[in-house]
Amino acid sequence: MIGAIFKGLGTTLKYLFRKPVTVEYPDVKRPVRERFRGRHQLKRFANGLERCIGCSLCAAACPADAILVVPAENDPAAPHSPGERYAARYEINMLRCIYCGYCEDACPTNAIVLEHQYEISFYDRKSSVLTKTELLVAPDRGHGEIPPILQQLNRRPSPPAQIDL
Amino acid sequence: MPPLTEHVVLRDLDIVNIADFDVYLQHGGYEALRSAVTEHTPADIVQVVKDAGLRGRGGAGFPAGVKWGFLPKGVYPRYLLCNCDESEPGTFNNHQIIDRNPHQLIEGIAISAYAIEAHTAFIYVRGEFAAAARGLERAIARAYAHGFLGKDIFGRGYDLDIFVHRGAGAYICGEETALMESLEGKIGQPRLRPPFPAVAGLYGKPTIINNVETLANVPMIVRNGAAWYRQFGTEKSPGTKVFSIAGHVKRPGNYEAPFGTPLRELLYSPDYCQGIRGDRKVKIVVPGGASAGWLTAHDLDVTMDYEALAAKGSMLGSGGVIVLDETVSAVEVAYKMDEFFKHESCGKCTPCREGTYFLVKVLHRINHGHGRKDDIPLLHDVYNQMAGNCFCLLGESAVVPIRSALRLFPHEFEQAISRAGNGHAIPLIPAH
Amino acid sequence: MPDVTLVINGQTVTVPAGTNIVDAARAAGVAIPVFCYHPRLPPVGMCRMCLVEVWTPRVDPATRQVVIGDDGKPVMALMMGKLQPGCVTPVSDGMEVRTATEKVHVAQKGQLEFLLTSHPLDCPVCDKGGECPLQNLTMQFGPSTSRFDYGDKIHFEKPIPLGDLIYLDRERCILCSRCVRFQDELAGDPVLGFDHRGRAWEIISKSDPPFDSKFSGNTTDICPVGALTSADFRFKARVWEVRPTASICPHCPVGCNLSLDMRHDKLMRVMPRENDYVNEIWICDKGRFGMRFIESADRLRHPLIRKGDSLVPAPWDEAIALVAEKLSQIREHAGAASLGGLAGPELPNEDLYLFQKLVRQTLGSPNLDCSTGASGAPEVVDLAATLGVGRGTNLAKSGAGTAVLIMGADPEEEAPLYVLRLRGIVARGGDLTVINPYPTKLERSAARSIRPHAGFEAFAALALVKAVLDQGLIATEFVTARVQGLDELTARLREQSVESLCETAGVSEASVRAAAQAFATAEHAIIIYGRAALAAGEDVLRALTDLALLTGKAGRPGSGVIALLPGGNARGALDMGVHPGAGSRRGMGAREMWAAARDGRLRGMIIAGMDPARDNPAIAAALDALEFVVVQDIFLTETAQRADVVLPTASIAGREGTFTNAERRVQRFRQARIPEYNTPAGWEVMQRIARALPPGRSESVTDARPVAGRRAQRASGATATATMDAPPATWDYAVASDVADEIAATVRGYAGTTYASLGLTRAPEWGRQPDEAVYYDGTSYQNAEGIGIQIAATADDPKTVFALRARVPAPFTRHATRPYLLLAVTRAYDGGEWGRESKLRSRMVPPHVILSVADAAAHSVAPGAIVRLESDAGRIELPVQIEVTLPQGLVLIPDVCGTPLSTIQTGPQTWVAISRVA
Repeated sequence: MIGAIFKGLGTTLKYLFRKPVTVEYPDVKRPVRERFRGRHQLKRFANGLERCIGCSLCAAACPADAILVVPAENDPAAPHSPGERYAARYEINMLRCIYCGYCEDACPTNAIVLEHQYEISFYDRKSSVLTKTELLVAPDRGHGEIPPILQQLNRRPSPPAQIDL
Repeated sequence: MPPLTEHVVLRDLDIVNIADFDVYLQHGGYEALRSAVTEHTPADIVQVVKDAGLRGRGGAGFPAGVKWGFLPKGVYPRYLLCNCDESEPGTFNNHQIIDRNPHQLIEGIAISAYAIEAHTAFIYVRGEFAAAARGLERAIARAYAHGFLGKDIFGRGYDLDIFVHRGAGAYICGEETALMESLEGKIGQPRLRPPFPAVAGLYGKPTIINNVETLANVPMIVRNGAAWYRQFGTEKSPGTKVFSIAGHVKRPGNYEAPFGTPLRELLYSPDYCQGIRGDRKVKIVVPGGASAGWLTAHDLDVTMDYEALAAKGSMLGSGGVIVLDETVSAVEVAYKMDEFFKHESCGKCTPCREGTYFLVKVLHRINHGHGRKDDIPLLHDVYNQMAGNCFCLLGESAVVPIRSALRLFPHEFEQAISRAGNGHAIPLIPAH
Repeated sequence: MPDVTLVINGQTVTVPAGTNIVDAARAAGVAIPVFCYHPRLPPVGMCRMCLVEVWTPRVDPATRQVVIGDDGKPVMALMMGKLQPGCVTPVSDGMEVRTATEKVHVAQKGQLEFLLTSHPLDCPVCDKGGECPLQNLTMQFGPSTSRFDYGDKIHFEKPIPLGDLIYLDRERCILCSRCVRFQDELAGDPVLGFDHRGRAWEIISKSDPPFDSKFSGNTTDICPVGALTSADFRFKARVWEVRPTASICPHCPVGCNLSLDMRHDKLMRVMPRENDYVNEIWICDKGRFGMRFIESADRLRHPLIRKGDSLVPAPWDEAIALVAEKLSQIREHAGAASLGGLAGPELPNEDLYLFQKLVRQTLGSPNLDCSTGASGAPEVVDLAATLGVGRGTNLAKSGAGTAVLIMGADPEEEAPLYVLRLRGIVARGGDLTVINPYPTKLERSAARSIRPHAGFEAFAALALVKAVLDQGLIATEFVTARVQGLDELTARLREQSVESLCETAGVSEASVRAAAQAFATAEHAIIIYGRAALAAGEDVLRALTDLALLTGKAGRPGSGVIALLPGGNARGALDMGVHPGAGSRRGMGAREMWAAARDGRLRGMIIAGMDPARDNPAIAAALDALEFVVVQDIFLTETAQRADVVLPTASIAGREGTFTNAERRVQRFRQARIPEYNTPAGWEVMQRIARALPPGRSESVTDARPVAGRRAQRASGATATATMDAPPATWDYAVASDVADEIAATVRGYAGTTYASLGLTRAPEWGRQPDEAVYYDGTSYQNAEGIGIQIAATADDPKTVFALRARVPAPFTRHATRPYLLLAVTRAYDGGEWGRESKLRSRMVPPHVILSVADAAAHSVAPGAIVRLESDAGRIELPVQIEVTLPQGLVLIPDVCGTPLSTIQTGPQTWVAISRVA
């Protein structure tokens, strides 16, 4: 029995000089893995246009039916996003979300991304529904160029000329 | 086969100024029409043309007399259309006929219309032949003035009106049903067959449509008889053919020669083209307009008639012979020809509209030194997806140059692509 | 036609000769992919998607005999040595079709690769995504990757408006020409065409205004890609997010089957629902774009009670109590006959039935009507209940052997979808005669168009009857068994000749005789009449009745009369007894009620779903003279503004019910959303009022049941009556189906029209084959919610006997000083309340008058000039439009909102003088 006590103390002693594995959350925040799936963000292109084109494929893919997209037509003079269509409303109910990342897979423009923020708590249920303004990144935090497939809104080719190569 | 001593169709080469009405009359003009209308029944004329074995010169070579026999009995009015929308690249014999020998055509139309009991005939002239069309109209006016056209021709109660209609510049309007659509004022696109034009053609009525050269043969056949006509040419392709020879020959032009004349003779004989420019080697001969399969220097001994060319995997087509020497690149020729078909595709059916565009995009990049490793199998796939699947023959024709080029000169494509040096795969939608 | 037996993928099928391979394969349950082919359109063979291997027995060219192989079977040969398009290749005996060989797969894959080379692949933002044949077929048959450089794709400006309702995205267009062919061949409005050629080939609109057709929305349905999209549904939602709800169009008597596609209780779009008996798979633009009113912000939300000059919101209990109190007060003091009720012909049967029960039974007043009673509005006379098309009629199947006679109707404006139905009959070999005093679009499809002088239509109709008598075209068997008074009719018409009648009517005798011949000798014949016939008076309808009777064209499927009455449920309103003649004693009709209101005999009124005061100061004044008016409506209409109590009600999206269409098909619509602003359904309002009423002496209506002899007599007349058993006196309906059950139990002919049976589709009888998404995806919804029940017309009972009643019309005299005959004509886009929030607003025509070229020249007026029209009743000033084909001496005024027709009309036809103002 004595032996067992010393064995236990020995273990304690051994760990006394090791670096602790716990961190002092929330003062210290442990970094997450690159592919961690946390709170969503709606991304922008480098020029500040929203990446989301309001296609609702994320909502269709969502197994928890947590996403609501209401699309609308872009005003060509002041577009929200490249192309004809944008999301007038984009909402995610974080209480429903199961962080599976299917929305990210479904997104054709890489607009919705599950980022690394995991501190998601609310004081009431209503505020669990994140709106588009909450989800969108700042206009200067965009990345990437607009792909050619989306650059068609302001293209005005003359058909016969173009078609004759 | 000896060259002709006297021409059958290109009589303007024998008789000076035959385009003039009086000159034409002096040389027996409109006598055939007179004898047809006054001495023969329509059925007689059809029989003579059938016996002569006159084959359609528009491309398919279908016997004209047999075609006339397809008209349903007792359905009137009937129409005769003369197809002068000569748009096949390398073909220019119709233009010479209507420009230099219009009365023979008019007489041929009048006899043929009489034979098929039509009282209205239309000549659909290619839009670019503006001056020739005006000349044709003047010639028709002279014929009207002399009572060879209009009401009660030769007092036998037969009426005929001929109208000249100019197209607006579309290759597809040389296709008979598209020509009818265009003549009716619609967008020039082929119609679904059946019903065939002989049953329901122009304005839904029985219609016979023949090429200028076919109809220009008719007066001579009626005047001289079927046996006379059969002395020219071969058993299955009797008569003569006007070959439009263009390209790298010393003396390009229209030559009327009997069917069965060897290609070599046409190219090298002093009676015809007198050899290749700069005495270089022949590389490609396209014997019947852009839609005919290519021949090479090995094939020069082929005789120019429907059967022999078909056996070579080509066709006589419209008789437009394009001769290209060793300085040309097969890739570029294929590209240029398919570019033509792409430009002329009417857009009605998917494989032609999209396939020609696809082919040209690929050929363009190969030809401009941006070819890719996968492009040759891609070209094979694309033309195979078109071949046999198109609505009309335009799409099928577009397959011919590229298929010939890939069959005969595959190494040129490989060289063009390897010169490009980059063997990268075709990028799909650019990643973002 | 003889049947043809062929083999498709090893399966033997027998189909009628002339069927194409795609349809034969459909019958065998084999889906051949198509783009340009649509089962409802004639084939063209353009897209080359339906290429299949067709093997036929080899025929020896010398002997013309089928070559028999060593195994004793015919030697098969691939037709023309290549693949054949299935949509344009007719089947033949012994044919073998293979749709799943390697060669076919390569071709299908090839066509899809080609189509996708110029397709922008913007499916995520495309409204068609999710119900797109190109998507579906690419998934099923197409290549997984494209070998075409994305950068080489052709780009067009996107989208361009093809008219204000339809957008065209030329990049997405695969040039199948379905839209162009629909407009040319089915709709008969050839307003679309093509421009350029080759890859630059594009769809253009050839009309001004662009895409000027009442059927334009259907092109967005049949478009196999997202090239044509509707402005109404543009970027509203993805198609898989919407919840389709079965509904019925309330706008006209066709009763098209609709689907209201809802998302979160908001209407996203309106789609057709297939019903071969009614609308096939088409709907008109009025039905498609004219349903936005249900979400209008102007909808009434609360009951309103008049306090002095203004209407103020009040709680329901208070409003109902007030209505009950006032109505019973008037009943006590002035008698039940001083109350009247008007209900609109757009209301569902449930509302109309309880309205009628409230007014006639509970309040005890016989004064009921379903027309506004405006001076110019014709009396609604109705032959359809007696001689209506026989039970089992399906116009989609009528064709060769059917003759249609249109008498005084403009189906394009009064019931647009009938244009498609009738053109379909013509396309299938039927015969069409149009008799109308003014030109209509359907004339272009007619075998003969007969244009009588306005006012003389009765002579033209009588000429038809006389021609039938003269030419010995009488159906002897039918006439002997079921018709009385042939000798009397012959005697009445002895003095007349077809020639003199035609001369009076101003029509050609030959065409009248030809029409009579075609009508009488056809196996089936249908008469369609509408507003102009009603305006021309009763003699027209008497003659039409006799025409149908003499030729035996009644009481069997495929033959009979169709009445185009205003409103979507006029048939139901008449059947439900909202009609002064429906009860045991005849009450006042609307016109009499207005007169009675002005002189104080009428004291109180209930008006439901009708706006008689619109553009009608006389009726407005009559309403003001009433002691108490309660209006039930969904908008604050002119009439509602003059009411003492206004009760809001749910639109058809917020409730369920049934409509009866012009062919007497009772059809059920479902509740698409919770009622807007929690408004109750109309029948619930009636029930609340009835329950709040103090018990009074209630009139017995048991004697409304006619004796058999009287019924026959009445049925033979031009005035039809709904006959019904006495309803129970109780008001105890929990749900709409309780009302429907009572209708089924009491209204004659409606037996069996319970919600359960209305919801049946009777699948084997009609409809789609399995696996037909290939042909119909995105086109319309398959009907799973019931095709309705066609109730019997009186003539369907072989024991009923009819009397011939045609008579020689009184001589028609022209006005001495006013030389022009004014006719009010219906316009589909009339600017009514239904058009609120609709994209069709821009198509609504402002008030104007239409003159003939000669008359305009005589007064030297140009289009847009203002003319003054003066009649015995008054004068109005309207801008002019000139119609080239309008006969001289006729003046048309479209009956649209804002036209003060009532100030000038002296009756259905009015004599006017014209003078130029500016």
